[in-house]
Amino acid sequence: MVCPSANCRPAADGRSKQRPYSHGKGPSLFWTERTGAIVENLIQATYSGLVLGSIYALMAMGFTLIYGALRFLNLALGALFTLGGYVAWQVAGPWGLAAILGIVAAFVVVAVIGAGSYYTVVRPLIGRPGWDIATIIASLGLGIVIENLILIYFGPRNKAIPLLLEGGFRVGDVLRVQYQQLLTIVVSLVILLVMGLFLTRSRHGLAIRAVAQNRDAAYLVGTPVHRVFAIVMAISAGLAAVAGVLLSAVFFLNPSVGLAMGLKGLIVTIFGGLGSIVGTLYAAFLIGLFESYVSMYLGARWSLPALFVFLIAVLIVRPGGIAGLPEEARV
Amino acid sequence: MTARSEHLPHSEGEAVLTTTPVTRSRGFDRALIILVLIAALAAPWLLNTPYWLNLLVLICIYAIVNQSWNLIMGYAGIWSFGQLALFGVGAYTSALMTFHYDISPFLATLAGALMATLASMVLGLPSLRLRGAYVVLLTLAFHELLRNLIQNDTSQWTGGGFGLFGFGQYGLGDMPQAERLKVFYYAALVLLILTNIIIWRILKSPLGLAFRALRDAEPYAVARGIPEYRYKLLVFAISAFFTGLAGAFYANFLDAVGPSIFDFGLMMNLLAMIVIGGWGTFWGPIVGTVLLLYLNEALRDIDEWRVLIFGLLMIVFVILLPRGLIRPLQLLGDRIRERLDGSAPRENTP
Repeated sequence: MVCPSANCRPAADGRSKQRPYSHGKGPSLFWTERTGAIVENLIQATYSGLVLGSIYALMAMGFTLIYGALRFLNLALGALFTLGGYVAWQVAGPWGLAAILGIVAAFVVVAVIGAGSYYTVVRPLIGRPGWDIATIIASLGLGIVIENLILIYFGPRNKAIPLLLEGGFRVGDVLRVQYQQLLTIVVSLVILLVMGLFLTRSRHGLAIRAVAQNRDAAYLVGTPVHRVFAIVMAISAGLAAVAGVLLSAVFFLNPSVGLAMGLKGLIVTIFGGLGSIVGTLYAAFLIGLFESYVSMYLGARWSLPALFVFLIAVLIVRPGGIAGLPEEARV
Repeated sequence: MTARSEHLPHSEGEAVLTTTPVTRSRGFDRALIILVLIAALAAPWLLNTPYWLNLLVLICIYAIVNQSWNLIMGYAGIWSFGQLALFGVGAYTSALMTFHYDISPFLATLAGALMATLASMVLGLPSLRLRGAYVVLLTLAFHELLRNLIQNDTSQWTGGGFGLFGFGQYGLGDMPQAERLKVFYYAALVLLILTNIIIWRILKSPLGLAFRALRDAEPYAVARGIPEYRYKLLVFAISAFFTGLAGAFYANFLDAVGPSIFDFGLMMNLLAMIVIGGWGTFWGPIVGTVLLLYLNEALRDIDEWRVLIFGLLMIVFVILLPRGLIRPLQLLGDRIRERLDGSAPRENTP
C-alpha cells in the first residue's frame, strides 16, 4: 500500500503488517487500509488484464486475418495454439536450447502446418456450394486431429515451459511485475506492430488486403489468390502458436488448453467485429481487462460466465461488434 | 471472398432446391424400410448381451439427437453447436426434478423436453437474427456457459462436478438387467421412430421446403415472403424438443447425470456421425450414428487413436464425399432397384 500523503511514513513499530503507514494520528479519512486494498487490487487486476489482453490480441488476430481474407472461420486455431506451446516446450525443455529459439521454432513449424492445411483441407472446399460451413467442419476436424496427435505424442500430463526471463521487480508496494509478463506484452505488441507494417507496406501485405477487399478483382489484376490465402493461413497459425508459447510460459501446458483459448479468441474476434483488425485490438484488451476485473472482484469461476453474458448482451445491442459493419452481420 | 456462396456455380451432387417430381415406384423404399424395422425389432434377440443392448439403446438416443441436429444444421442451415447443451438441459431438468422434488420420472422427462425447447428459445432469440460465424460463437458460448455453471456449482443442487445419480430408471430399477435393457431399447426405438416420422412429415410439408429454400437461396426465399426469423425459431424449437426428450431419457437410462454430458469430444463425435452419414440427408445421421458407435466399440483396443480417426474421417468426408456415406448407398440402392423394376434412377432425396 502506498499512501499519497506527503507526511506519511512507515510505522516504526514491529506491527507494520497491520498498518504499514501511519499518519501519526491513525488512518486518515480518505486513505484507510480498505481503500488502499481496493486500489492495490485494481492496479494488479489492470496489469494482469493487460497481459491477458496482449495474448488474446495475438490469438484473435489469427481469426481476424483469416476471416477478413477468406471469410473462413478457422476453428483449428485453438489446437495450433496448443501445438505452438508444445513445440516451444520441446525446443526449450528436452532439447535444452535457448527459450527464444522456442518461440521462433513454434512460429515457423506451426506456420508451415497452417499453410499445409490450406492446400490439403481448405483449398478443395473453396467455391463449393455450402463451403462456408464445410470449411468450419473441416477445420474442427483438423483441430481434433492435431489435439489428439499432441495427446498421443506428448501425453496428458501438464508441462511447464522454462521461463524466458526469470525474476521480476516490484513497483512500490503495489504491483509485482514479472519480467516474463512484461516480455509477453512487449513481444505481442512488437509482433502486432510488425503485422501492421507488413499489411500496409509490403507487397504481400497489400495483396492480402486486396484479396480481402475484393477477391475477384484482385484475381483479375494478377494477384496469386491461392498463394495469398496460404500466406494468411500461415501467418495466423504462427500468431496463434506464439500466443500459445507466451501463455503457457505463464500458465501450464496440456493438450486441451486450446479449446478454451480458441473460444476466447473467437469471442474477441466477434466482439471486435469479424474481420476488423483495429477493432480486434481494442476488443482483446477490453476483454482481457473485463475478465481480470471479474476474477478479482467476483472470483475466477465467474469470469467465463460473466464474459458470455456480456458478449450476448453486446451482440443483441450491436450485432456488428464494436467496430464491425452492421450490414456484415445481417444482410 | 465477397460473393455469397449461393451465387457460385453449383457442383454436382448438391441438393439445390430439387423440387422436381421424381417418378419411381415406392415399393422398393417401403420394402427397405420394413426390412430395417424388422432388423431393429429383432436386434435385442440377436445381440442378447448387456454390452450390446447398452450400445443399442445409446444408438437410438444419439440417433434422435443427430436427427434433430441435422434438421437445423443440414436442412435449415443454422450453424448451431448448442445441440449437446440442449441435450444436457433435458437431462439435467429431468434429473433435478426427480432427484430433488420426487416428481414422476415420466413427467420429468416431458418437462426436460419442454425445458430444452424453452432454452432453445432463449438461445435462438438473440442468435437467429444473426448469421454464420455469430451463430457458431453464440451457440458454442451457450454450451460452455452451461458446462461452466454446472461444473463450478458448489451449492450441491446440481451436484457440481460429481453429478447426480439414482433416479429409479422409470421404476424399472429392480428388474433383471437383461429385461430392463430390452424395455429401455424398445422405448428408445419408439422415441426414435416417432422423432423420425415427425421430422419426415415436417420435411415433406411446405415448411420443410421453406427451410431448404432458406438454406440454399436465402435472398430469394425471403423475397418470396418466407418469414425467415419465425421459421428458424420454429425449427429450432422442434429440434430442441426432441433433443431434450432424448437427454431426459438418457439421464434416466444411465441413472446418472454429470457435467461430462457437455464433453466437447462427445459433441465432435456427434458431428462426425452426421458428417460421415451425410448431412442434409434424411437417413444419413442414422446410418452415421449406427456406424460410428459400432466403430467406437470395435476400435476399443486402439483407444487413443479413436477420436483422431473420427476427426480425420470428418475431414476426408467433407472434402471427398460431402453428402456422406448415404450417397454411395443410394447409388447402390438405385442399381438394385433398376435390376428389380427398371424404374428411373432416383434424384436427391431430402
